[in-house]
Amino acid sequence: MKIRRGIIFVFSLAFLLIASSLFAHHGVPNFDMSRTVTVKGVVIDYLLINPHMEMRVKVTDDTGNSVEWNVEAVSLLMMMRAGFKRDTFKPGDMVTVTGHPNKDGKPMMVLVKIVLPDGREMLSGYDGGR
Amino acid sequence: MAMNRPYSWLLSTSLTFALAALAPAGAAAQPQDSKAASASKHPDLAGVWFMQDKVHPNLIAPQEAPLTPWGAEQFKINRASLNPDSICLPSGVPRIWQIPAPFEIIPLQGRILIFHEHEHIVRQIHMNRTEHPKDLIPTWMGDSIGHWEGDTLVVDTTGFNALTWVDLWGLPHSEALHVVERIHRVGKDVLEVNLTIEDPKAYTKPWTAVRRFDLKPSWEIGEEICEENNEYLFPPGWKEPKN
Repeated sequence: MKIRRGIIFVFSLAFLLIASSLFAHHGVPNFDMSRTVTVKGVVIDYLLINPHMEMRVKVTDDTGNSVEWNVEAVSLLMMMRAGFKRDTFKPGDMVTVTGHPNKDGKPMMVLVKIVLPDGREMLSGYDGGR
Repeated sequence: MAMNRPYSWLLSTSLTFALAALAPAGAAAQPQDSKAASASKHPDLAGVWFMQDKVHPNLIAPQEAPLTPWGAEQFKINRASLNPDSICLPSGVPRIWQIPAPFEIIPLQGRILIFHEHEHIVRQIHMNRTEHPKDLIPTWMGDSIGHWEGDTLVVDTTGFNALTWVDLWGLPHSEALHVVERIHRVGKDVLEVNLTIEDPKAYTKPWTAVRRFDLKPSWEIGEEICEENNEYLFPPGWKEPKN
């Protein structure tokens, strides 16, 4: 039983660490709002949820190395006011994403805009987070 | 199921806010008649408003904040801590004015409601009281009384708990926080909120800040419930705050 509990604990902790890193609010102070970065990649997942939209984008460089970028924005309602819908993106879509980068150099950003393959440009519901 | 306790606690907190806004305000309750309010001689601030600026984490440059030694120490602690908003706790005042979500001003007879989309927080401005109740139990959004000075709605709020930040950057406050908001139209479709923040425990003197908001005639306040995904937001090791 002790081993089973230990396994459950380890898996629970791993889930918490992964989930919190994927979905946690990070807050504007953690981002450099005076700069923007642009990356092009493939949508891994896109969640139009509260407390804010979340998207992960897989960016692969010329040498084949890939990095997962975490893109966060404002609340579901503010994103809907900007035209975002639940099915606006699906895994596998190619997107070009511009946002304010994380100050510590982590592959995270607060969304400014997304350019779709057909050239349509979607601005965030608010240029900032909270 | 350690995560469930704070989750349910937060949910009950939100429900308390919602119910508090809907319930009569004790002996001071008045009939809720918006027509009566709109016929008042005072300016009509009713409508849905949204902030003008891009997000700005500071209400005042931190180096200009007149922090007391206690305030400076608390500021350091806050800077190394998780923003209370980030785990879906209520924003408090004046922090709520920095949230990028609209709010609606709803005049009633004897009260003015400020209905924030963010967290469905509802503030009640009691227009028929001139004093705060004695022995207030500290709350997230405090106790607000209001009066008119010409075209300006003056809101005096006290009775806060010390679990929120003054701004997104982490400026602190204590339970002695006293906020005065002077709210008025500076144009047909522009609302200005002049804030005076006073807290003798955290600041050596009162300081001020200004926020402006645009009228959004086509917007409606929707449902934004931070807690719906809050189970992901509690970092490992997070502990329920002690009030």
